Amino acid sequence: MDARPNDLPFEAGSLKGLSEKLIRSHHQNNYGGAVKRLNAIRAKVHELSFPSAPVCEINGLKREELIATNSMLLHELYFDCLGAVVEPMTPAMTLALHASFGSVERWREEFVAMGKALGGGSGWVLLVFQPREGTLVNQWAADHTHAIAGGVPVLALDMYEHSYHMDFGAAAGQYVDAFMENIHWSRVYERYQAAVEAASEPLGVGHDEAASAQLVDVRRLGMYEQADAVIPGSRWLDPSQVASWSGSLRPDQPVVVYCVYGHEVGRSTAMRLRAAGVNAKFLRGGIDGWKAAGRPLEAKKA
Amino acid sequence: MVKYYEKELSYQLSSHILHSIYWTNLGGKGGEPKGELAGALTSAFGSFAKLKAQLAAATTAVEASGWGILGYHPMTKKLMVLQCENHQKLTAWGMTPLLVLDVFEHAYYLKYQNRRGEYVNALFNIINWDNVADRFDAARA
Repeated sequence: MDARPNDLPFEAGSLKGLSEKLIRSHHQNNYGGAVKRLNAIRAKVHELSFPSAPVCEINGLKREELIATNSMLLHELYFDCLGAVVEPMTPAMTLALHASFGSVERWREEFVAMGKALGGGSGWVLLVFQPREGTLVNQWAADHTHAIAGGVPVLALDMYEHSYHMDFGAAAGQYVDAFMENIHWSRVYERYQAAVEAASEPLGVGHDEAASAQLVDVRRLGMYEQADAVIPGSRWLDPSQVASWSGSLRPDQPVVVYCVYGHEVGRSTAMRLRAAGVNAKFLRGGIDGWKAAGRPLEAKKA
Repeated sequence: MVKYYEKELSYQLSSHILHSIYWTNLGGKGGEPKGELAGALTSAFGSFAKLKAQLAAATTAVEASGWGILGYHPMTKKLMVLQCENHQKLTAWGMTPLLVLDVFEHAYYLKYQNRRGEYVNALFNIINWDNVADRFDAARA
């Protein structure tokens, strides 16, 4: 079946510092062109008799198919990352960047510098969730086909010159700065959350299993500070600093971490702990679900 | 780090070389080459029209940022059309570039947006074939 292009998820003329003409051309010509090319290539691949086809034809078509597929997917992600309404970064997104990069500022410096370094050619800078270690990484791509195996891109900066030349000419740096001002953070966060949840699903445990484990409260600092109660026998450790405390856990007892609702904070912390060699899982439903089930709580010590 | 600097060297030096050739290849009146180059192109490609069609098609179809190139290969003594990706990929060792057509998007986006084919056709109107012929002579010397 033919791939169908998506509409722009925002009004073309509504961004700050990126013109309607540029956005329309980028969406219609470059993204729309990729979808058209992909459909044409798929038709050719479908017709190909693989046992008898010359290798140059197999290699050529499959290469083009990969290029067009990723061009379509990455452009869809790119446009979905932009929005007229500037959404401030939620505390949970801030935590995710902090946990992987040390600080939001450090993440931003790296991401922006990578974009500017690709100026004058083609490529992408991608913020990618990497399930093996439960972390976010900034990924370099010199064309559509570079990808981290198993990674889930959540934010995409297009550095092909068609993304900016009409507005900025060779001034790629100005384009990168404009892009950073138009990021729709809540959609980025939703993608990050969905990626973490999908990858961590097998690591969830119920209340009984948690009760017999080494319990670690990993609610983010702001939530923990406001909390009155904790699960008995647990201790709080900062989910943005896993490397600083993962070695302090007892190796003879499985670890169960909990956050407020059992979403991506606890889940990604469990994944980072496992990457550090700790047998960690997360509590489904978090402390909120624990409380709703009538399980005991105790007052947080001052 | 050795690998990093070697890659950068290949990319940046090739960019410098190809752009340097590009500026001298252009600024002419287009048309068709004369003399020995004209005869060599006809024997290699069948006719000038066929060379032009192949070079234009290859250049327009370069993946992402790159160059369409007419080159002379001294070891095989053949004229060839090549697609170069970025500045340094997809060459044949020893190839001497004679005519290079820049299809990085910076070369045409301001004026032609995504209409790369129109830009390539327009380039043929300003090729300085004397310069290409000089390069052909030097490559064979």
